[in-house]
Amino acid sequence: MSTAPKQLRQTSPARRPAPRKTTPARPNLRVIPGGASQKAPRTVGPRAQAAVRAGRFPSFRFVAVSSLIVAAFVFGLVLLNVLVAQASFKLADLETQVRTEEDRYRRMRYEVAFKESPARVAEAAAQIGLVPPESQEYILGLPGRPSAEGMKELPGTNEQEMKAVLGGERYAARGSRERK
Amino acid sequence: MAMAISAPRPALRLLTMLAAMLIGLTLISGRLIQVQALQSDRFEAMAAGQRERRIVLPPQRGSILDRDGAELAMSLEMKTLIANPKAVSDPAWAAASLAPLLGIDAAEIEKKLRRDTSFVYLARKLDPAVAASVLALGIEGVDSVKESKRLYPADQLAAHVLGFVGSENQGLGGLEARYEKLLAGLPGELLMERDPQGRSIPAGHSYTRPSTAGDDIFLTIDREVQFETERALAQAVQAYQAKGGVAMVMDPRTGEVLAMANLPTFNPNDVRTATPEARKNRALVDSYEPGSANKVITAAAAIEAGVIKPDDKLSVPDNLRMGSKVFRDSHPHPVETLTFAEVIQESSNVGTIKVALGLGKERMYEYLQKFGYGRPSGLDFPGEAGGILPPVSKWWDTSMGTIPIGQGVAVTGMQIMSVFSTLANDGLAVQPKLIAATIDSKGQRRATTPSEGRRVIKADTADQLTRILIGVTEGKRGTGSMAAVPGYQVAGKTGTAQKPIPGGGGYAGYISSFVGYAPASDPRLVVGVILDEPTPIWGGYTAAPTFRQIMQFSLRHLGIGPGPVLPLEGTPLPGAARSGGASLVEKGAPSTQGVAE
Repeated sequence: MSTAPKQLRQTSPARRPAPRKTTPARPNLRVIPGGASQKAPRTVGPRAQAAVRAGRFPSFRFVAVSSLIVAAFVFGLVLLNVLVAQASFKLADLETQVRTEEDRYRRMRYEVAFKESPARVAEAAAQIGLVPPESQEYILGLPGRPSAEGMKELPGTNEQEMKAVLGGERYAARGSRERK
Repeated sequence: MAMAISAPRPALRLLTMLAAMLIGLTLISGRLIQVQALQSDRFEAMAAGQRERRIVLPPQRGSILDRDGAELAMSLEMKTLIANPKAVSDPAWAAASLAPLLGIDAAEIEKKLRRDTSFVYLARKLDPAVAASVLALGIEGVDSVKESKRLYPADQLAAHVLGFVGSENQGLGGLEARYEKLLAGLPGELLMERDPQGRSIPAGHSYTRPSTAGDDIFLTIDREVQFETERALAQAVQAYQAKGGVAMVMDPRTGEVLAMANLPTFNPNDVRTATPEARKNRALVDSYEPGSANKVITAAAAIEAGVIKPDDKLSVPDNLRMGSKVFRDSHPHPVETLTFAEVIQESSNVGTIKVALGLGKERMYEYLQKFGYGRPSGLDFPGEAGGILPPVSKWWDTSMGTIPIGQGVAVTGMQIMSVFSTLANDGLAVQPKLIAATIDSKGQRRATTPSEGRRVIKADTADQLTRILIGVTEGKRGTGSMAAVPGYQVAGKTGTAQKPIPGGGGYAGYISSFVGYAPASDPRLVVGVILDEPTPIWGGYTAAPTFRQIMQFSLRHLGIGPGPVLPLEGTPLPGAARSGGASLVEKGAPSTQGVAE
């Protein structure tokens, strides 16, 4: 800018003269009626313009709504956190309950196995006067089947009696099944 | 006097300040680099250690069940009482209060509570109800933690098969030790944040890696058969004043062991009171000389090799000299003419040795090996012995007198069971097994693969042997008539063998046995009974009736019918001469002293 006084310039001859600016001359500014107001609606609404003119931006309503939204968001977050915490407590309780029930189930299984053990069953049986069978008998269902020593036919199991009960065909079929 | 006032030097002050700031910032930056970069892991761990707590989640040890799913070994959560002696204000009062509930001497508890430490065990693996009553006393410094305890609901039932665990539930014996990895499972981990008071923060960072429960194991053991086998063995040991005994039941078709009983026995719930001798599974660990039971291998080898037939007749004196030794039959008798079947049925030592001499050392050894002598049965049990079968090169000149009649070789009870199982299974050897299936933590059941049969002798040879062995229980002069089960045909063999003195130096005492199978026409069960030093010594009088008791119960319990009756092999016609006559097998010179029944 060449706004310095001419005297100073003259007292500093050693200085090289500043190069001349070759900035092209700008046309003079002029007011275009309605020009700014025509473009304004693109960025700022009439209410905002009014608010700016009135010097009270942001409006109370805007602050209130924003505060409500923020408060609702914070409340929601807290509520969510509380729900998560409650759910985790409930989950922990349920897991404890599951472990307790599993443990109870295993204890009951142990009790069953303990009481069903043959030694205890035998002891209980002896206490009520039960004794092991001394001998056993076999029913021979097939005609002509060789019998081992000690085996005897029970009444009602010989060939004639079985034929009478089962009938000829059923008796023969039973015999063939046995042989297979 | 003029005072010189130095003019302030702002540039120097600025430089000093700049230098000081640079040094300070450099120190801070260096520390930051140290904390954030160079030693970040250490500081991170220190911070985590202050607020995080890692808890190892012990896995549930798998159960051991019988073939029908009855639990024989299982784990339950118990309570262990711990104390911080430094927090106990009045140890004497605390001990006096705890003693009656814990059943421990008060002085012992007080001694623990006066230790200069912050942790002691008061009682481990207590019933939760007892622990709750202790905690209800509200003694400062006394607390409880959970601990798993191994329990055996049927006490000593199948104790030698199941084994036992240590104080940390690690398997130390039997199947508990053999299948430790399978049963133990994998531990889990719980990571949680805690507050300065040590309480967990519910919404804090937490991480859980659940533990994996161990697999359940289904045995081939049948609980009822096992009980009856143990009961019969205990009665026999008591009645015949034996030192101990072994009894087993096996399915010859599958090799499944249905019962394995040992005496002396122990209670795995209280293993500390059991002696090492009582904890030993004698059926698998102890080797003994099988005596006359070994004659079935000699007979099978001779028939298979075509040396003799069951009906062939032999001239049998009551003694036979081999070198400097004389082998004798169990009782003096004149020279008799016996069929080979009768030689086995009467358990003639001299007759058996004569047939073995015709067979020769190499073939005798070959068949002993084929029947599984000299190596473990394949049951895959800890400490299982393989018996003793010396190679032919180490046989003495009298070995062909001793080995064919079951002296000079040693087998385990399981090995002799395998021999009879092979005969019962038409000459096919099936590997014995104790494990039927496993079930993993996801419930997936994996059955063990059935063993492929290994042909040892021809089915026809096995059939001939079976007919001979029926005569042992049914023949007029059979040594095992007391093993006969009414209604069934039983094939089996008695054995009475001398016990070698450990370390050499002769024999002392006898081992008596009876091993057999039924029904002979379609064998479903093999039962073996071995008694250690019974009175009387003869297997036919001691082991045979015990065999009958076990076999009779097992057949009835498993619903196995008698099956068709087989004719006896080699039974002489009525009126046939039993003395004199030429021997069909007159080979080799005898020796050695008589032994087996």
